[in-house]
Amino acid sequence: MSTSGDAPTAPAAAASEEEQLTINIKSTGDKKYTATIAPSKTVQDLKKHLHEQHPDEIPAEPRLIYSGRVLKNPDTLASYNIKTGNTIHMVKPAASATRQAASNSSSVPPVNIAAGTGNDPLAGLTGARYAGHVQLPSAGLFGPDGGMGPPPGPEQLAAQMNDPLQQAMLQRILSDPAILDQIISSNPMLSQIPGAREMLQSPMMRQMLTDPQLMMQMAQMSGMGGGAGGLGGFGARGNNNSFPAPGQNETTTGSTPANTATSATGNTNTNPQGTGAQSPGNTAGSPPPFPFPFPFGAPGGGLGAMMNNPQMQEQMRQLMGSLAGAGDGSSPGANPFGFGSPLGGSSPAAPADTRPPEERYADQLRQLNDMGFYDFERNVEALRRSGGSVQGAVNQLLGG
Amino acid sequence: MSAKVPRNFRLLEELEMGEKGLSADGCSYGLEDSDDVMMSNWNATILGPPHSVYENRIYSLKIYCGSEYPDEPPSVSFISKINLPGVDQRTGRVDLSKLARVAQWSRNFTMEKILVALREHMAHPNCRKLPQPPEGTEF
Repeated sequence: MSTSGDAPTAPAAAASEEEQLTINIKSTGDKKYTATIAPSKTVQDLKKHLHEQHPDEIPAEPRLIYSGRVLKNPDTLASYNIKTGNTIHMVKPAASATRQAASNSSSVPPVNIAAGTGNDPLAGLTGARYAGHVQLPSAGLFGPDGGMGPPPGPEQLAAQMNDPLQQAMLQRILSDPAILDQIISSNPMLSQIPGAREMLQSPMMRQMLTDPQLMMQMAQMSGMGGGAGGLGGFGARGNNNSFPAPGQNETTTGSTPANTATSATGNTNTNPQGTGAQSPGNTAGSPPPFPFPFPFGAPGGGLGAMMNNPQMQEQMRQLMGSLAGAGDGSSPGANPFGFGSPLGGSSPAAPADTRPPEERYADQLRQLNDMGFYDFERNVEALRRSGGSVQGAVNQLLGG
Repeated sequence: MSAKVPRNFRLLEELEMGEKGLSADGCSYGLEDSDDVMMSNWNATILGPPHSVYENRIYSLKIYCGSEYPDEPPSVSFISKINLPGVDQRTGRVDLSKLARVAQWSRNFTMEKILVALREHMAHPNCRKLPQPPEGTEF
């Protein structure tokens, strides 16, 4: 061991003990330093030496690399066979290194996904506002429990979609098969659709969900309350009420005419399914089991994209029809004034639609025409009763 | 035609380059065992390129130069776990044919060239979104 405390800078002074090494230290950014130190010194000694020589430029614990190896503190320089004239690479420990590691580990989806937004991998979408993002809608939009209130307007939605943070989050979600699987498996409706995952992963879907303009159009569409088939009711419903279980769908579909009849006549309490239990009051109660905590009609919008696929259309229409039916069931029971909603399918949160029926139901009317129902008055009437559901309207036209 | 540089001369040149630190920024390499007269086994590190998911991490690699080097490319494997296209997720082995700049091997290529190509590959925007295993894990 050298008796001289810190290695003297003059090589001649070391001749008494052992030969000193003069080594080059190359930092990132091409800064170069030289150090003269005995080979018996440890890497820790070298770091200390460097830090004392250049306290402003070299941190106390730089990472040193020589010949393709990261030098470990307790090892001596001799053990790495470092010779005079050799160059050690130095990497400063950036503060962002730990942050980077943290964000990387958090991208692994949690194993235990219970209901509610607490463990939800998508919860960050709403949680981002806590990080001081000014663009996001006010906290009042989300229910008192941090859950979801009524859907935000298209402008708010667009602002949210323009947020790069949200964009990145969505991209990550859509590109992570594990998270997608969770979404699909925890959503009874999505898991019923074969190939749902492929759809969610398709570039088209990704573009849909990440294009602010498209999303804005979607939001406007779902705000139309039936403008896109049963979608309007669905988009609004997803945020207010529990998603109906598949079984419930079927029974409700079966009795859609009966339900809509009661709603049209303004009878409040004869809902045979008892779905009236879903009152608007419980909006703030339990968070919906629907796994998309998007505070807007994203699911509606996304499914709208699927609707454009001709193969999916019929199947989706049936599903949507049954959903719109379920929406009907709950609205009379929930209406405290005892008036059946004049629009039938629109749920309490949906804004009243004042457009004439031929415009509002243009799509559905065209479909009905294609199916051979040409009576305009009857078609509109049936669509009103079914809340814009073509399926429900056909049932009406055939049954009544 | 210039004379073919024999394997060992060539590797000695590369060794000197590595030790003198003449190698490109962010890459370092050297003999694993300085007593290895065949100079077959090498260590290397790549410093994750800035503004990538690999930033600020030091990736360790193993390089094996067979007896046919440099006529045949060396085999390169990551020791540090990394999620990167072209890297076998079980073994860490690098598929050199996936690296555009060295896919067509030439005997003029060096280990350094492979490391630089790998580092460039890591900086590619396609790799920006890849989730990475925790730092310090190994294959």
